[in-house]
Amino acid sequence: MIGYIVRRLLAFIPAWFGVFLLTFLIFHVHDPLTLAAVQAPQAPRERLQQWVREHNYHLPLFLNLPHHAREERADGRIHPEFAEQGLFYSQFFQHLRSFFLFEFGLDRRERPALETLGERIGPTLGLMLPAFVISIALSAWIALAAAYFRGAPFDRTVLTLSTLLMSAPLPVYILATSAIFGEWLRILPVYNHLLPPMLIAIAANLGAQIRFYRTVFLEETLRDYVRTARSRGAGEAQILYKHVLRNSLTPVFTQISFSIPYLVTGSLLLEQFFGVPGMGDLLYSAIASQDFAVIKALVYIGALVYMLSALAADLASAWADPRIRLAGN
Amino acid sequence: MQAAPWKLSALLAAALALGCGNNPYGEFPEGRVFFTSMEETPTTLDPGRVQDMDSVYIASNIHDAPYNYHYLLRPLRPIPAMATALPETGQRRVNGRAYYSLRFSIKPNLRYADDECFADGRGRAITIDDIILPIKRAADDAIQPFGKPFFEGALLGFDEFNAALAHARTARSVKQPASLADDPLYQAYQRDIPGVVRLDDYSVELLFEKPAPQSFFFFAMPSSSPVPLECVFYYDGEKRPPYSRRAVASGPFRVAEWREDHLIRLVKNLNYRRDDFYPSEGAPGDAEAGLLERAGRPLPMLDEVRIYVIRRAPPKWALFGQGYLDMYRNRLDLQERLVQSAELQERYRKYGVRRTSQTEFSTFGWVFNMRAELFGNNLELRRAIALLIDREEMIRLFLPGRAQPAMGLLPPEFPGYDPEYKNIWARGDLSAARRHLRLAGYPNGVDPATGKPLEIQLFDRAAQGRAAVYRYYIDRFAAVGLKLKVEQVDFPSLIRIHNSREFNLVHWGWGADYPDPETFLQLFYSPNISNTYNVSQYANAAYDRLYEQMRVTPAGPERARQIRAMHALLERDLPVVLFFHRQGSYFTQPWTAPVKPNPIDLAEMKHWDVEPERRAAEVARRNALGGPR
Repeated sequence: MIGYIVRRLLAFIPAWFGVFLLTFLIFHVHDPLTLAAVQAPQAPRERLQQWVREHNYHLPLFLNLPHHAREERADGRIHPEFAEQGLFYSQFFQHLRSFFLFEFGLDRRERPALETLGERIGPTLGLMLPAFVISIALSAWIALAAAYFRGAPFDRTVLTLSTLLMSAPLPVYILATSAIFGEWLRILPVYNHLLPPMLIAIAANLGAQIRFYRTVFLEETLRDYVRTARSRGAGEAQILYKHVLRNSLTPVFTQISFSIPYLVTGSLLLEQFFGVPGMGDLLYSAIASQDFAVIKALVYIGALVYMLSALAADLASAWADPRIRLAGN
Repeated sequence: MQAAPWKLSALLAAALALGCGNNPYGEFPEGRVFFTSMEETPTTLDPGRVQDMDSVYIASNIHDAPYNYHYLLRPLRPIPAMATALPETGQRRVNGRAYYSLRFSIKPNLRYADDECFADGRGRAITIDDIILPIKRAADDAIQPFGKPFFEGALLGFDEFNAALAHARTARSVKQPASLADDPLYQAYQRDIPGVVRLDDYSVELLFEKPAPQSFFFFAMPSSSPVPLECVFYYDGEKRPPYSRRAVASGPFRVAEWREDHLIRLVKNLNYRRDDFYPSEGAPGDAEAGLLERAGRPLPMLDEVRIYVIRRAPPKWALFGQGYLDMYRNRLDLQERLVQSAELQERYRKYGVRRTSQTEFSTFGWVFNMRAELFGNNLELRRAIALLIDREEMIRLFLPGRAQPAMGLLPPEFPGYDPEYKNIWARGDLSAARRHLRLAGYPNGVDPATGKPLEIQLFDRAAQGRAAVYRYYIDRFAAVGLKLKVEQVDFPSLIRIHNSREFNLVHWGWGADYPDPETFLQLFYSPNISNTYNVSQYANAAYDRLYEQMRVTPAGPERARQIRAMHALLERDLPVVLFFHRQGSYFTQPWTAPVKPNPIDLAEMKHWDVEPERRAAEVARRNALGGPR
C-alpha cells in the first residue's frame, strides 16, 4: 500500500510539471509590454517597462546566455549584471522555483495571490461543503430506497424527478429559486445569504447522483452474494446497508472524487448570483481583469486538488473493496 | 428510518424560518445608511494610481481635491473645494525668464481622517506640501500617473524630477533600504521641482515654460488629492498592507470596511472640512425636480454608504425592486429591461422610482487605419463604409434609451459641443454607399483583383451579447456586396492590435476625464501617433496647427471656430466613423433625495440622502406576503 502511494505521488510530478509548462508558456510567450499594457492601459511606456522589470519579464526566457547581458531587454534597458548570474537566471527557472515554493506573486491589488485565495476559500467551503455532504447523503439514501423498490411507483417517480432535476441547467435553478423564495414567498434573500445557493447546489446535483447511485446499487443487488445472503435469511435492510452499500463504494468514491475539486474551486454562477465572495467569483474576476498571479495560483492549486482527490479516491476504494489488488501487493 | 424525510423537511423548514424574510442585510442598520452597488471592486484607493472607473469612483468620494465641479450647474463649472478660490493665472518673470503661472491657496484647518499612520493616531493638518506631493507623484512612472501628461514638457523641472525618481527607483531595486533615511526614493521625493514654488504653508505657484491651460483640470481630479507622505511609506505592502488599500484621505467619507469583491463600507469622515454645503443654486428644472430641497445642508448628509459588489444583473434588479438597494447606477441593463417591459414600467411608476438620465462624456465608433493599404489612400471606400450604418436604427435595435447618435467627437453638454453641426457621413444610406464603392474601385463590393466580394476585417474586444450587433453590421455590409469579418479578440490582443496598428478597421471609443474639448481632439493630433492616443494614425498639418491653437485659446467664438474647422477636416478626411454617445441612468427609490449625475466629477455621495423610516415602512409593505409586486 505504501509503495502504491509513493508511486502515485511520483506520477504526480510529470502531470504537475505539465501543468507548470503549459501555464508558463501561456503567460510568457506574449510580448511583455503588451501584458503590461493590459495591467495598466494608457500608462506611459516607462511605466510599462517598470512593470516588466518588477515582474521579471525582462529576464531571458529559458537560459541566461552571454549575449543577453549585452542586448536591450523588454524593459528598455541593458542588463550587464546578467553576466554575473548563472545559466539558470531566467524566467523559466525563477518561475519553476516560485511554483515549488507556492509563491505566486502579487495580485493586481498588490496582495500576495495566495493570501487572496486563502481569504476566498472560507466562503466557498461554507457554501459547497454542506451542499456536498447533504447531496451525497440524500441521493445515496433515495437511490438505495429506489433500488429496494425497483420497478415500483416510488422507483418510477424517483427516476422521473431525477431526470427532471438533471435536465434543468443551473441558471434555471438560480432564477427559479430567486423568484420563488425571494419574490413570491419572500422568505429568503436573493443575495448575501448562503441558504439559497446551498439549496440550489444540492438540488442541481441530486438528479444525476440519484440516477448514478441507483444504477450502481441495482447492479450490486443482482449479484450472487446478495442471493446467498437472502437465502441465509438476512433481512433486506441488512443486505442493503451491510452488503450492497459497502460493495458499491468503489464507483461511489470515484464519482465523489470528481466532485471534490468543486469544493475548492466553487461555483462561479452560484457565487456571483448570490454574492458569495468565494473562489468561483475570484476565478471570474481574475480572468476578466487578467490578474495573472491569481489565475496562475488557481490553475496550480486546482490541478493539485484534482490529483490529490484522485489519489484519495483510489485509496478509499482500496480500503472499501478487498477485491481490489493494488499493483505490487 | 421512517421518520427521516420528515426530519429532513423539518430541518429545511427551520432553515427557511431562520432566513425569516428576504432582507439580505438581516435588518436595516441605525442611522442614515445608503445601500447601492457596483459591478467590480476597485483595484486601488491610492488617488495617484486610480485608473479604472470603479477605483476612480470610490477614490473620488473618500479623497478631497483642491477643486470640484458644481453639483447642479451645467455646463460643468469648477468650484473651489480645498482651495480658497479659483486659481490666479498669468505670466511671471523669474530670473529674467518669462513663465506662465498658476497660483492658488488651500484653506487652513483642513485635516486628514484619523489613522494609525499618524504619530498620535489623529489625522494631522493638511498643508500645501500635501498638495505638492501629488504633483511629484505624477512624475513617478511607477505610479501609473494620469497626471503626467498635464505637466510633462511644460512644468519647469518636471521632466528632470521624473528622471531623478526613475533613477532612485532603480537604486532602490538593487539594494533594499534599511530605513527611510537610507531610502533613495524617499530622498528623491524630498527634492523640490523648480516649477513648483511653495509660497507659504497654504499657497503654491506653478511655473510653466509654455502655456498649459489644461493643467488646471489636474487639480479637480482625484489624482491631485492630498497624500500624507509618512502614510505612503508607513503602508509599505510588506510589514503592513499597501497604501493602495489603506489610502488615508481627507474627503467626506472614509473606508471603514473593504471585503474584496463583496462590500465596501464608507462612513462619514468626522474630520472633513466644515464649509461644504449642499448648493442653493441649480440649473433650470432642478428646483422642480426637488434638487434644491436640501440647499444649505452640511455635507455629507449620510452616516454611511454600503456598496455591494454585484456583478450579475438579475439579483440587482430583484434587490432594487424589493427596496434593498436605494440606487441602481446603471449604464446598460435596467434601461433596456424597462424599455422592453411595460409591466416593470408600471411597477416602478407605482413604487415612485425615479429615473435620471444623462449623456456620458464618451464617443464610440470605428477608426480606419490611415496608414494601411486598404483604407489609407481610398477616401471613397472610407465614405462608403461610413454610410453603411444607420445610427438611429442601430440605437433603436441595440441600445434603446442608452445612446444618442454622434455627429462630432464632442458629446452634448460638453464644452465646445455644437448642436447645429451635422456630419454628412453620419447617416445610413446604402444607395450612396454603393455609389462611393464604385468610385472607390469596388463596384457592387467586388474586389477586381480577386473577382470576389471585398473582405474587410473589423476588430473588437470579445464580449457577451454582441452577436446580434455583428449580424447587423454583416448584413449592412452584405447589402452593398461587401463581406465583413468580425474578429473578436481578448483585451491583450486588442491592445497589441491598437499599438502595432495591425488592423484596417477597429472598434474605438473615448471617455473624457476633464471638460475640455482638447481631450477628444487630441485623438487625431499627429504627434500622438507615437503613443496610443491617435489610433488611426491620422496626420494632417492643418489639423495639428488648429489643435495647437485651440489648446491655448480660451473658450469663446474663436475656440468654437477652431473646433468647427477641426471637425470639418475630420469630416473631409474621415479617419473615424462616429456612431453614438452613451447615456447612463440613475434609478433611485422615492425615499432617497433626488440625484443629479455628473459625467466627470464622481464625488457625488456627499449629496445623497435617505429617509430611513420611510424606507423601512415602504420595504416592509413591498415585501409583505400578498403585498404589491
